Amino acid sequence: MSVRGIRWAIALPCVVALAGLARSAVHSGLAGEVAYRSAQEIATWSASGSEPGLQTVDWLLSDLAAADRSAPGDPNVEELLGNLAARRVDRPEFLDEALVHYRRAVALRPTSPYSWADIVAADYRKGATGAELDAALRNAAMLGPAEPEVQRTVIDYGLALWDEEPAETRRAVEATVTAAMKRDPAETLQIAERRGRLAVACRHLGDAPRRVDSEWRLLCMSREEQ
Amino acid sequence: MMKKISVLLALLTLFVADVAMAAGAVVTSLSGVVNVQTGSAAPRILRVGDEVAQGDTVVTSANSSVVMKFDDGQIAALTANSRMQVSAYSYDPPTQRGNILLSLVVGGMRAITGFIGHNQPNSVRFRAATATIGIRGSDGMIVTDGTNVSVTVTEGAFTFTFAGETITIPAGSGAFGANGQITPGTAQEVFNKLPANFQSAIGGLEGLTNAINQAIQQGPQGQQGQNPPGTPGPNVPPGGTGGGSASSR
Repeated sequence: MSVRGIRWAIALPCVVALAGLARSAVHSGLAGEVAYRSAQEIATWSASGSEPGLQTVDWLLSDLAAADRSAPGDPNVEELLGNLAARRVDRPEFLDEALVHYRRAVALRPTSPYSWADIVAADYRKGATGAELDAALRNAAMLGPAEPEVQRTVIDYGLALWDEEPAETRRAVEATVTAAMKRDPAETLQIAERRGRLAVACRHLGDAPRRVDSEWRLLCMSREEQ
Repeated sequence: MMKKISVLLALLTLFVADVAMAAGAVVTSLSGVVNVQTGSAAPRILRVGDEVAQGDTVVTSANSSVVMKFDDGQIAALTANSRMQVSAYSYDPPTQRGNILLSLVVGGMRAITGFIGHNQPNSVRFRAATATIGIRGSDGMIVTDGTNVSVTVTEGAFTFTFAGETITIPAGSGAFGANGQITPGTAQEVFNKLPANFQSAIGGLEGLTNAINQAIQQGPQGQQGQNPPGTPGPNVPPGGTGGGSASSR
């Protein structure tokens, strides 16, 4: 083979590989763009407190599904598809679909405490309070100890299931309560009170660096006396 | 990279917004086993702090009870072996107006009205079997076995429509609708004439008084609630205090 032939033999696969990579990058970029637009759109609905029409949801779903097909494996797209499905409170079967997406999201990005927290919320709403929810609670607590939104979910559902949890999960939930009491004691006490588990939060009243409303302190003291 | 961060931030916003969405009622007290069913989904166990929304059906088992507090402060307490559907519930906190329709299929319910009942009494209705109950007051007990219905009023007045007849029941009085007719009387007289299962349901509801008072005292609160604990107290007319969202996610 001539030198020219050898050059071609090396260059051609490189060009093909580069073209493939460019195509993949374009698809990934487009998927990212769709995910970005979709997340912004959904955030607008949430901020306004109004639910969009079915047509808008369908339009967003088809965009995201197309993005998923062209660039599979984007955890953001999976999470958004899950969030869209989970919004369909009128159709509980959509929770199963949401869970499929959330599970894919954690498989693609197992370090995201938000995806684990999404699984916690979806499983709880579905009434599936088994091993998956338990593992998701612990993972969310472990991966997002300082994330306010993750803290809220872990404390809310963790305290709801307090009596049914293994000791290890209870420790993880209580560690999150400790962290949340340092961040926002009033909010944490309020969640604990709503779940009928005020004593768990009251135990960490001393950890709270911020001033806690005296009414909460009195309530904690009265519960101790009981 | 910036775009990915933006998507993550937007997802985070979504997460926060979902947490803050209001729903309907929050379970403030519960004993025994209580289930909730949403549409055609399988029933799931209800726990303290859970939300109950429009379209949900709450079912209490034997030796079980539940107290729920709606976003507007409306209380609904169910005794054992009851089945109640939240047929309609909407509430607009800024205007303190909305609409409530609770359908008691079977069992006993004590209902104490909140902001909606105070501002728009005609927008609060209860159904029990074939009877319709409207309110002109704030506190009453409804019991049904699926056919017959008893209503006892503690505060204010209820209108009771049964078998095509409508009467107004003032505080301290009651009525029993059975065999196509309504028998009114004082609360005690009506109670004495009720079948044993009705009397037992009323006894069960009276046993929930402490839990109901606690729910009233808590004030509407949730993760986004603004009220400190302890407001408003029992029998405080709605409108002066409270009014935040009772739900969280």
